[in-house]
Amino acid sequence: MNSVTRRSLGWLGALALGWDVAPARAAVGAKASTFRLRAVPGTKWQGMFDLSESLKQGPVVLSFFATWCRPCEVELPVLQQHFTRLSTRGLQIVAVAIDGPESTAQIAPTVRRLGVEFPVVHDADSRVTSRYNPRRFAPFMVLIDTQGRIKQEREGWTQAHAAALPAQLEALLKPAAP
Amino acid sequence: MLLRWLVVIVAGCVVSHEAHAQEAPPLPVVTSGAASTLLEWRTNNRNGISTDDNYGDALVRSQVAVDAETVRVGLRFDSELFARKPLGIDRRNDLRIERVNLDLERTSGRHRVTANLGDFYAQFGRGLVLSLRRVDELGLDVALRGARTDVALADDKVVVTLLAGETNSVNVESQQLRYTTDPRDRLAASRWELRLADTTMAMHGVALKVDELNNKTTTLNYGGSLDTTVGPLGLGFEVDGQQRQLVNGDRSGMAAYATATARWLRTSWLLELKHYDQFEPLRGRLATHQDSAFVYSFSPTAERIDQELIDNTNITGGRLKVDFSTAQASASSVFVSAGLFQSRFADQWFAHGYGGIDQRWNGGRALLLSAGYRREWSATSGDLARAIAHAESDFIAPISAAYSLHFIALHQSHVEALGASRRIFHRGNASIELDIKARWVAVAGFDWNNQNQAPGIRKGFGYGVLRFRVSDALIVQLFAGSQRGGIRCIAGACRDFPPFSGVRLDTTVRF
Repeated sequence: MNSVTRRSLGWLGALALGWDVAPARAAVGAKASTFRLRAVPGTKWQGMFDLSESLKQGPVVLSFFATWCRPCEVELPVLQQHFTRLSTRGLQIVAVAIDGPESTAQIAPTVRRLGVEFPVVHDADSRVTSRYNPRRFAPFMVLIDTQGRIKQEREGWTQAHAAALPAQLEALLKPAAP
Repeated sequence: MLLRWLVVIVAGCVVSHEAHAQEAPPLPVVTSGAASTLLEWRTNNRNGISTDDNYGDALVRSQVAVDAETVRVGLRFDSELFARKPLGIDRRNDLRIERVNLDLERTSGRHRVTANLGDFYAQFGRGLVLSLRRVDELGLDVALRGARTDVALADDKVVVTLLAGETNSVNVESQQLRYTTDPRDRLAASRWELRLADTTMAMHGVALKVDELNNKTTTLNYGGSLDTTVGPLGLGFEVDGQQRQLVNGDRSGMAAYATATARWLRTSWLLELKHYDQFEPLRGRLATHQDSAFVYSFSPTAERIDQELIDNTNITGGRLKVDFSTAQASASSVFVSAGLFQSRFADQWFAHGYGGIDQRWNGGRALLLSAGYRREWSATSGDLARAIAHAESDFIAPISAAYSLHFIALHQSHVEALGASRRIFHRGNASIELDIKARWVAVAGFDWNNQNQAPGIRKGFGYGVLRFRVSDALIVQLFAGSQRGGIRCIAGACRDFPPFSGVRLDTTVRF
């Protein structure tokens, strides 16, 4: 095979990888990659967030957001309402800021203004974002059950998302089937 | 070449195995990943440049990770195939490994050691001394290929980070799909962090060696930071120094950056101060596709994200932003922000103020209205250099639980001094989006930009987007039309989009 043919076939192979993945496989059942990130200074919750440790306490919702993202500002107060309602049942919510250096300082004032009380961490070097949200969408939500399996992933935030979320959180809080 | 084929075969086997093992127990070893496929035909975008017109491309970006508790192996490979690519820019049909990484973790009581081999991102502090990460606005994605270890002692009270390697850029930048070789600049860095209660202190140092024909430099960045929270007050400081050994002599610089945030009654305050004195970004070698160098650090700007700054290396100034909630625990707020900066590099003063209202109702309805004015003038003569007035609105209007509308509009009017004359131009974008049951999304938008007023240059941009969420794991989006670059929000998801004119089919799969 000449070089052009080999490269074309190689590209087609990679394209096939992109297309052939069964949609039904989804992220459901995939294990959430563990990570540790420090809380943003100036936010209500302080300390080091450790996903593997947190999953021992209950299911975790990761919400990737940015201060320049308007739908995120609508989503976070709704998540806070659910956190207030369901944290006694073990639900944990973590906001992961994907801001770059140019807007890092805005993170704490933004989440305080929005009344966020759950942990807010900053993925400064984008290591966590590159694993969960490689295209860097904001907002981007990941629901993880206590066994560390990803139950759902969601891009964006609309009223339909808001309407569906309570049932999704209830499902997340149900004890895992043996 | 052999290695490339092995990667494709192994990754294909892994994916195939996963696709047929849906009922298998998911733990402890799990493969996950994502793949995006873009099929594009780029038409004449009428920007006066022929090298980005009338060609097709197919891009595949795939990453696979194998996760086994304390061991994680990741692999990303990219491929591009072009059709009728124009001459003048290096665009290649290619398939290659972009990222390989092996992450290890070991915990012993209250202590933990992690090691990263291969490609990894890294940022110290606020990015002043080191920031290797993706920067979508610039189409950059640089990692370090080498080794990193983080040693955390006593429940993270002490964290020591050591890293060294060669810089490794994604070889095709996302804006023009231009090919560039890896810079392979040598970099070593260390950071020592101590946390006591709500106070974190850190010291860090970074050494970069660039060795190319006309650019042999050694740069040393060093400094420290302090972040603390005292009741409702959050304080952050970072002071850094810089020593550069250049072909034509040595240079030194320094940077100081401070933030203070506070919550008082119904108000939220943010004060940012910066003083950069000849503090240059950490520059690597020249990218082969362009005249500018790779950049490995980014200093905070204290500016709105949509502002274009001509200098962030030799500048002093600050910004104060105040949010006032109209009622306790209210979702309504009024905000004002004012900043003043002096650029010694440009010999100019910059002043920028803006304000607005942010109203959110129960049920998901939300409105943002904002307007502001920026003025830049000569520090010597006082003459106007540039002025920008801007206004924006963002309105989310749920129709029912299943249907939602989203209106976005931004307009900027610019005045630029060109010698004795002045040039006025306008930029902006407006779009309306209909979301149906979080599954279908239809967007119609219009952009405008008459900065380049030459005949034949496109000044208006119209487009439509149809997006279908087949499942949580598969999203298909069709775009047709033309769009100027910048941050865009579609279906409530925001991304930085490059300028584009043509048709694009975008498929994202997560597995």
